[in-house]
Amino acid sequence: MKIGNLLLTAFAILGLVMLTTPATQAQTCDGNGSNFVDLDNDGFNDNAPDHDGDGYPNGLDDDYIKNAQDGDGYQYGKLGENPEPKMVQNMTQKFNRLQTFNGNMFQKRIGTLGEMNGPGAGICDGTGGGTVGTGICDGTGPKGPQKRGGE
Amino acid sequence: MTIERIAMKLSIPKVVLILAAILIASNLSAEVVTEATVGGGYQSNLFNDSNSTGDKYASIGMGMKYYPSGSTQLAAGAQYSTFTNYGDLSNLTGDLSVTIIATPETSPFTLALTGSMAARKFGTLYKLYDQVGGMAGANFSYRITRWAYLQSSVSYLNNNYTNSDFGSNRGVDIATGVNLTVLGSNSIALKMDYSRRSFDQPTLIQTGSNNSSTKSQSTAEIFDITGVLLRYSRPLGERTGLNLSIGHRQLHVDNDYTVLGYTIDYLSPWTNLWEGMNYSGGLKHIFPKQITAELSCAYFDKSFIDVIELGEVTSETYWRDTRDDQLTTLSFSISKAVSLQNGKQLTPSIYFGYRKNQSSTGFFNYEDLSASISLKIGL
Repeated sequence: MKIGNLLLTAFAILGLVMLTTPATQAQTCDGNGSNFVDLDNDGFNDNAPDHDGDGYPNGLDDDYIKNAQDGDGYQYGKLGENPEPKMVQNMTQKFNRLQTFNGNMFQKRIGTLGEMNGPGAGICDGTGGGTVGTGICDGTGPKGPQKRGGE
Repeated sequence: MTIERIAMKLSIPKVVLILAAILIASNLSAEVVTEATVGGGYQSNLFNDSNSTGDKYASIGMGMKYYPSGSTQLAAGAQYSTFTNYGDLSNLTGDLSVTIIATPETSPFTLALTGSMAARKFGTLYKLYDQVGGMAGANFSYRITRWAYLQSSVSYLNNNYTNSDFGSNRGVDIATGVNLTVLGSNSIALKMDYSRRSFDQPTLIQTGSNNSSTKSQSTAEIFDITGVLLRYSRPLGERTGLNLSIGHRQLHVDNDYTVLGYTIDYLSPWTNLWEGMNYSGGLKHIFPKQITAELSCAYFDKSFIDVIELGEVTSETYWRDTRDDQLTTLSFSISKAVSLQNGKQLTPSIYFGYRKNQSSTGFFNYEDLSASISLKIGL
């Protein structure tokens, strides 16, 4: 209980400091933060453009080619590439985001076999761990590095 | 026919065959994403107790997503994991799901409907924990302004332990909350959730003057759970994201509510029956060359439902025990996306995790160290 109170105090102080500190955000669409939305709670702007649908915002994506000569920027990937896989990746990102949003709605779901983290090999106590993931998770903890169906 | 019955009829080999057919067909269509994952690792404490039993494991899995339209996703996956020394812990998992976004992308309303089924099968020693589950739900989001979203979710879940008379559970989950962006790029989410669960479990009838009880037939016990969760996230510089959360969960059960202790290990249906506070924090950093690193930590203060322990294996005497745990976790992962010339992607990942649990019940004082590597391959 003592640890809980300490953590609560630390969170409150940290939260106040953070709220009043301006952020640098290359991830943001317009660079000034007015379009910032983070429904998946990873600290990155969900509205940041990701034209090739690989999960990396254009500003942080080494694959991204600014002002590509297809007349429409970088709509479907690198020049000369088959555009269709990129369209499918964008759809995948859209549904991944939706699944993350759904997962974030509950701090824990009891007895949900279908909501295991990661590739799910065996053991998991729901605290979010496991790249390979090992078990029947209860979805309690911070997000594991590999959620089902996406990042 | 209920989801449960359909799932029961679909044995895991059948699911695997269906998946294989889908995966082969997937190469014929551009609207399909397929991927395979291989991995392996070591965990020093498989059963989350003071015995500290460790083992190596390896896994292979395949997944497929098909988009018949821009608003519909059909997904299927299967995975097999094998353990070196505890062979019966090896398990096969399969899952199927469909998600439909029923509203246009331009609308401030988003309504998504989801249905899913999943199954898991262990070796002989752990067949008591074989499971088949199903879920159907709807999720609703409304963009009030550019910086405020209202979110709600409702779903019905059914999870069956197919080889056990006890542990199967079913019920409804409801959640609602708001997500706000304030003072630039600070994201704050406040969410509340409610769950009602019905668990199949044996009734213990007290027969003696002390703690002697007799186990009788399975009955369905209903109980309610409420929770509140506060999440905060923001960027720290151009390439780093921070997230923090505080949550509390409350079980609404009678003071004398108990569960049988003989299954209170990590596979138990009752592992999740605790209440208390939880705190978590995490950092995500995207390095150049598409390298992503994530560091997270969490602290849980758990009070479990009282456990009835069997006095001796051969006796019918049970002893009641309370359990309060403080669990601390720390994890780190790093992955790199490698794009191939044909547009496909390889993603190797490394994960390290550490957990320390301090319990009022000595048996559950434990530490666990785990490390694993995996490779995700876009096909």
